[in-house]
Parts: sequence; C-alpha cells; structure tokens
Amino acid sequence: MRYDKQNKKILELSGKLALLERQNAELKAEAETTKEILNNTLHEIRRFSAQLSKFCEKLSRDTSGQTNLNQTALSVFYTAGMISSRLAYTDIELNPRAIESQTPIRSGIFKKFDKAKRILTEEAKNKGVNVNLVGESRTEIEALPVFELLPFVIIENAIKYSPPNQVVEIIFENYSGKQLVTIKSQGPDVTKDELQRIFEKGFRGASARTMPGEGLGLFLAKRVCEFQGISICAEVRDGRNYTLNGIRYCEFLIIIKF
Amino acid sequence: MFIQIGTPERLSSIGQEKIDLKEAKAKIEIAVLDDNAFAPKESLVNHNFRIRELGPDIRSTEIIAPYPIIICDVRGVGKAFGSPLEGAHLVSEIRKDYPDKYIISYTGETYSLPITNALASADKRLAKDDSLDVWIKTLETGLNEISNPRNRWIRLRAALLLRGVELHNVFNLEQALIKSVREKKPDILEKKAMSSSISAEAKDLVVKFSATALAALIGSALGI
Repeated sequence: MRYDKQNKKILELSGKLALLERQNAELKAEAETTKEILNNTLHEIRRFSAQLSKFCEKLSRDTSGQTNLNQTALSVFYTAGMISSRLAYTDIELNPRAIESQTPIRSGIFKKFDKAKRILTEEAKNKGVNVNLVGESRTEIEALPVFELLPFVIIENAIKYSPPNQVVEIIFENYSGKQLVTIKSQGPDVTKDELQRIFEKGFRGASARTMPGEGLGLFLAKRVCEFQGISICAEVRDGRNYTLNGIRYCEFLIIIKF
Repeated sequence: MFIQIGTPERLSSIGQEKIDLKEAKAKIEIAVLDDNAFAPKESLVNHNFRIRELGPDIRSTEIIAPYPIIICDVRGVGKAFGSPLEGAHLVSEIRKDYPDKYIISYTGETYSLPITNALASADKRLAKDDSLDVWIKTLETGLNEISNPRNRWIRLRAALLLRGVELHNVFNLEQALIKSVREKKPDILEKKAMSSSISAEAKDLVVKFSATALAALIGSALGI
C-alpha cells in the first residue's frame, strides 16, 4: 500500500469537500437572502396593488359622469386587478397549495373577455388592430382570481402577433350545451409539429422567432385552464396563408371550451 | 352505568332561521388587526359592512372578544405575543381562546408554506390585494356562519372534543345550549358549564362563549 499517495489523495479530497461545503453554505445564505427579497417585494406589490385598486375604484365612482376620464379610471382599476391575478399565478407556481386559499367568484365569461379587451385598448389602437366581441354569452363560472389572466394573455398574444390593421375576433358560441370561446386572429404561420408544442413554456414557432416575445403567453393560458378545469386548444386554418414583410402568416384560432 | 330520563333535544331544532344579511351587516361589527390602513375599508363600508380597525398592537386576545369576525394581517401584527410568525401566531391564539369566531387572515405572502401552515386555524386566507368581490363573498359567508348559534356551537363543540372533554359532558352542554337559545337565556349554558366536571380551560371556553357569542345572538334575536 502506498500510504503517501493515499494520504495526499485524502488531503486533496478533504480540501475539495471543505470548498464544496463552504460554497454550499454560501449558496444557502444567498437563497435565504433572495427568498427574503422575494417575500418583501411580493408583500409590498400586493399592498400597493390594493391601494391602487382602492384609489381607482374611488376615482371611477367620482367620475361616473365624465365618460373618457371614467374609462381611463376603469382601465387602471382593471390593470391593478391584473397585477393581483398575475401574483395569484406566481403564488401557485411557488406553492401549489396556494390554490386552495384562492376564493372563486361567480363571474360571467363575456364580461371577463370584455374587461381584458378594455385593458388592451391602447395596445390594439397603437397597432391599428380591431378587437371585436362577436355573439353573446350568459355563461358564468366559479372563477379563481388567476382566471383573469386567461382572456388577457390570449387577446394580448393575438394583438402582438397580428400584422397591423387586422381584426381579432372573440366569438362566443354554444355547442352541445358547452360554451365555446374562439379567438380568431392573423398570426405567424404554425406547422403541424409546432402546433403540438405551442403551449410549452418558452416555445416559439419558426415564423415567430424574429418577433418580440418569450413564448410564455400560451403556456400561462394553458396552466390557468388546468387550474380552472377548462380545455384549450390551438388550430390553424389551412389554405389562408400569406406572406407579409418576409413573415408567413396564417389564420390562427384558440378555442376554449367551458 | 347511568340513566338519563327524557328525550334529548335535537341540535337541528335551533338555528334554522334564515339570516337577514342586511340586518346582520348593520348589526355586526368586524374587527381588523393591521399595522397599515385597511385598504378595502371604504369600499366595504360603501357595501354597508361595519369595519372597526383596532391597529396592530394587540396585547391580549380579550380585546377582540366582542367581535365575531376578525380580519387579521400577518406582518407587523401581534408583536407583543413574541412569535416570529406575528399575525399568524395571533390567529392561532385567537382560535384557541375563541373557537367559534370567524377568522380571516390576509397577507402579502400568500405563497409562503410556513405561513400557509401557520394560518391553518384561520377560516379563510386572503391575499392583501384580493378583489372587492372576494372580500364581500368572504365577509358574507362569515356573517352567515356567525349569525347561526348552531354553527357557532358546532365550532365550539369540536374544540371541546379536541381538548378531551367527555362526550357525555359535551352532550349535556349541548342540551343546555339548546335550552338557552329556546328560552333566550345565555346563563343556562354558563351555569351548566360551571357545574360540569370538565377542565378549567374547557369551562372557560364555554363561559366565554355564553357571555359573548350566545349573549349577542340572543340579544340580537330579542332586538337588543
């Protein structure tokens, strides 16, 4: 047995172990600090969001006779609601049990889509995109706070990926006793293979890669549908493809079944 | 062996009256424990709820005795109790002393697992920025729950059983409660508790319940 060689090896490994233990302790301390920063930030954002909602609600009450001002106050109020909804989603991501403490509220589907449309009015206007609600719906669901995200991200996506001066239609239909909501828009072409992966986190089709975005919208939408127990799918209408500014476009549909 | 003569009264024979929510809103004051101004207060007052902000500096749970519904923030509340869980610890202390109260905790750290666990004794956990609809629904549920003597007794009954009170003693106390409600005399239950061979802690819970919850419910039924 060559003890010198073995002892040298033990010494080396002990040194490495000590280094790893030190790094581990540093990483744990760093994780604790990050967690504390996250706690404090979320706490404060929620506090400010509650304050924002309070002031906007008051403003929208006080300006009920002044249409434009009232509309802006309502948009800010709804946007504050989106902050809450997004944080509600974060809660579930960080702790799946957080969903148990979210209170479902009986809400009309049509109203939720209309609300998201109002929040996105400016964005649509800047792009010359018209967002139209087609048909009616009196369907109500027990909506979790996180549900607000669904109409928002889908309409936002439709506007974002649409060429200028196009129309986004949100169609409300009843089919076999189920409420269907179809969001019809023009978007970058999606192949059959890509369509299978379109709800994956960070996934972007080849035609959309040159456009801004992170591939999060539809992933979020799918997750919210899972929390709510509703189904969502994406479809592409064949034969309606065209090329504009080097990007191949198609008619893109998101179908939500309640 | 024991023999009990007579037919026991059914608990379902009380608390069947429909709650008048408008009246409950007007009569019942809701306590808020928070180190900041309670943001939804104005909107809730506009919806006819009675909100009383008691601040964060609670030194004893007795201060909340008159309030059947408690809204409790987590951060910066109940520091006098010396727990790092602050308001979450206070919630469990309130639950220990007043098992029949409807407790709503609210926090900005709704995802936190330690806080979620510590708040297990709250009836409802809300986020600081939950919508007005959520607040209204939660408070209306709370008003319905605490306006019913049967529901409140069921909460207290579970706490008594958890503390090891014999089933037979609980049964006798339940019969006294039914008689108290029927005859509109809270002291019937109180006297029964005092004469029962139950622990001092359990006795204290029932006496507090008679003096606060039951007295208020009976007073309300009498229009006092």
